[in-house]
Amino acid sequence: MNYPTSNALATVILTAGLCILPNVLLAQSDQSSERKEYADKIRETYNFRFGKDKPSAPGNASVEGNDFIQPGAFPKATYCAHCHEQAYSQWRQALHSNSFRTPFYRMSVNILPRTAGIEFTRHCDSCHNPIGVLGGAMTQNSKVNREFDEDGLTCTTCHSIQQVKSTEGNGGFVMGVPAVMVDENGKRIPGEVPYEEILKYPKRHSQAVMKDLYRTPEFCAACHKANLPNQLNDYKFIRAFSAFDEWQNSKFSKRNPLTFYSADFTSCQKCHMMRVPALAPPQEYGAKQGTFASHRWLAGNTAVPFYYGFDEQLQKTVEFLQSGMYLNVDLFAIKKRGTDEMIAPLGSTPFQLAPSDTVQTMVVIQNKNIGHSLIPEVRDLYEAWVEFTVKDGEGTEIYHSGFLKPDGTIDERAHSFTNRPVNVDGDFVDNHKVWTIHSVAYDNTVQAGRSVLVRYEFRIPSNAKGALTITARVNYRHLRQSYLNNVLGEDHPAYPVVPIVSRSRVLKLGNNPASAPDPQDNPDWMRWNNLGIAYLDQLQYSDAIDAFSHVVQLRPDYADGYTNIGLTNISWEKYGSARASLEKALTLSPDNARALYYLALVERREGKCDAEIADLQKVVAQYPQSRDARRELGISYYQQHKPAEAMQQFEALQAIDPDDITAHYNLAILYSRMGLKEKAAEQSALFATKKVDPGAPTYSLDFLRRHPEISTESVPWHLHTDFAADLTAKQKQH
Amino acid sequence: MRTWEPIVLAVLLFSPALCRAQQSCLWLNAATAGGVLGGPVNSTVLRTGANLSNPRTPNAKSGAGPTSANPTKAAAYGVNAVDDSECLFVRQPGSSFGELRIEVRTMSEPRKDFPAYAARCGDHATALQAIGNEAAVCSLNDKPGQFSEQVVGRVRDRAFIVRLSVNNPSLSQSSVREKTRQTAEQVAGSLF
Repeated sequence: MNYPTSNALATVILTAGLCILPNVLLAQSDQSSERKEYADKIRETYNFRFGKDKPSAPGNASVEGNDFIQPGAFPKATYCAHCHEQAYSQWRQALHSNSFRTPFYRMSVNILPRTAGIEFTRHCDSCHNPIGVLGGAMTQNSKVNREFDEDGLTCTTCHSIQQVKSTEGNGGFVMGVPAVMVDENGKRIPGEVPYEEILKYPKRHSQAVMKDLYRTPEFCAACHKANLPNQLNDYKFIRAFSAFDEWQNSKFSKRNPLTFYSADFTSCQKCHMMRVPALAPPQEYGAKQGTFASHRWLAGNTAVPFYYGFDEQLQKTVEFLQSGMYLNVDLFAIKKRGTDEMIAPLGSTPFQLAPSDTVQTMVVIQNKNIGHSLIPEVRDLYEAWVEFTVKDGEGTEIYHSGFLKPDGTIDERAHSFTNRPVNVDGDFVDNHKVWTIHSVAYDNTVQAGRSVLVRYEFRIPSNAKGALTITARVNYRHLRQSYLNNVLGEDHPAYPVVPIVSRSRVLKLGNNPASAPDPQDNPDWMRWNNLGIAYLDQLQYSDAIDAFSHVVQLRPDYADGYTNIGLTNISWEKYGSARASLEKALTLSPDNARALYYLALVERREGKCDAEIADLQKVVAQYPQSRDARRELGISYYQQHKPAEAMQQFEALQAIDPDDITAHYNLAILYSRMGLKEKAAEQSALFATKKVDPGAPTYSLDFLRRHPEISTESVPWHLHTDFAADLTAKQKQH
Repeated sequence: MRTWEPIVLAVLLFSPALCRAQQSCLWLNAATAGGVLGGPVNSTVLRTGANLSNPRTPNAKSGAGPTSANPTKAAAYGVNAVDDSECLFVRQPGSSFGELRIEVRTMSEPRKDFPAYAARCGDHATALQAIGNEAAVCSLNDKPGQFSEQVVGRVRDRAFIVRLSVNNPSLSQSSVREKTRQTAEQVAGSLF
């Protein structure tokens, strides 16, 4: 092969540079004047309802230059498809490309222009249609051609983002003027460039369209975190959802010392943009060593691919949900009525059953490896629920909870992972009219790494023969049936119900000896541990301690088992009892941040302030991004009259979570004492709008009074049974 | 003057059920229509709704309707059919002929009423996926030298008809069909 001489190479570079440079300057200048002309025109009629300096409010989207940008500045996805055909075809079927146009989104967002005004849609469209928002299209009598709607989040929306403002969400990104190349000085060349140029200078292309930021969870936080600001609801700040915060509090972030289990650092992209093989043809220039990051963003949405007929996306979504990696269902124990004995763990413990026995089954559902809650984000629109069946040897159904009714709706007494936001009238906020939410009457989920205990009671028929099969499964439907009915009318086809995970056990009438565990089952110590976590979250402290005690019996080397006993005692306000277990944990695992954190809380109660601060400092040193440790250390310093140190901790906390109430409250006081009046006023105002409205629970109570089925579900400890009379008695007793 | 224009004029002047409103088209803005037709357009909106004295009754509390699937429910909102209208976008004089017509009607009994709308495409319609609840496209080509494509579809109890007619040698029949499909998607999106 002949290589060019250095002189020849220099000539080529110089020639190329001379050719490109004028074009670059021309492109920049053209773009700049075109943008100014466009923005001037938009400004003439734009509704600046939320302030001249906040054209995207109530959303947070912004673009460099702080002015409207013409939609034509965004190269279309078909332009990118020339070299990224596989990524393009994945994107076309993915949620991001359909972020605006789907009926499921339009149904909700269309209500705003029909009622409050189109300008309010900027809150939603900052993420769902950023080209529309930044192009100034979301205004009355818009003069903007909306052809871009069908591409939703196109390639050059995400790949033009230059920074995220904070982790406040609501589209909290700053976009650059879209560019697919930089010049030799690293300056972005706006708009499309000939493909030959990109192929000639692939690094300059990468420099323009790829940033390390894109691989971080903070990047996703720009839109996978949302709040309802008072500009939108004319009420107050309300947290809408935050998959990012949930991830940050999970074991996958490595930022939280308080998780029950640990894991390697795993970003959002690692799960939702798994690398997939690049198939040739077609050519996929984004591939490295034969793979590239999937642009399907597989998650839970089956409705969009079902509606559009994107069969491949639908199939892969179902496979993703059913991969078995994320949830674990454990048919953990039974209790026979009339005895207090818990037969547990099932499989490891022999027991007897007889006809006419009334049996309570305890099902533990563990959010094993989801980096956020089940289901994340808008639980008013999605449906996940537990289906539990008991069948006799002939397959006859003895008990069934969580069934689908003929009209497609779920048994209202099912254990569901949904929520019920309510308005000022205590009515369920249907159609995702989030701007009317004043309270949340019910919100059930399983946070990352945690477990829930679901109890079912049934009676074995007196004439039952053979063995009973009990099955618990977690089903998922995107979207709630009644919402689908609202969107499409009641004559729509049935939308997919995906069983995510399922576990069955056979209960014989007579003797049930211990049996070998199923490969998918957790080891017994972990089964007890998950039960303990579930009890703890259901405020059943005594039972939780009992469960965790089984853990340390089975795993005396497991420091976290002792810490779990300690933290349960703290929750139970038995600080004295907590100390011994925490010290045991620290004996097994010196400097264990989790144990140190809880020990510091005990020390605070004991008045051992120096020890408390020293322990929290150790936690912060190990986990500088721990919200809890920063918060508690800030409080410790504050109580010890160390305002500068306290301020430092609360500011650090605010950098991790800009919405932390404790930080707002304490900083308002601390700044005020330091004479920083403006900053104090700002923090004070933020505290005032973000703190819980003490009147809000009234709206929830109104709803719960009218919905006894949800009222029952909202009690942390509740039983699912067909014995209505018994249930009423138990509720009264409770 | 085209043959249909006197008829439209007569209808506008004499029909009590129709009125001409100086309003924007609710289903598509003129800029988007201009994009479809390839240049600036003149637009006309004919409102045909029942409650014209209160054309945009806000359904602020429920947020639902007037596009309810259930006519009884829609009636409860008191706004059923108020948005029914017909929008006509025509390329401005001096350019090649292009016309985009959008019609939206509320059906009291969608199952019974929609077939009559669907019949506007006859037997040669091709079903379209993911445009409203259901939709089909067909070629009309009723005038020489002109491509004319029509989508007839439904969102719950609202029927919509989108007809695009162009006389532009640079456009093929299939590209006109694609533009019509895209426009129909925009219209259906507004109806949800």
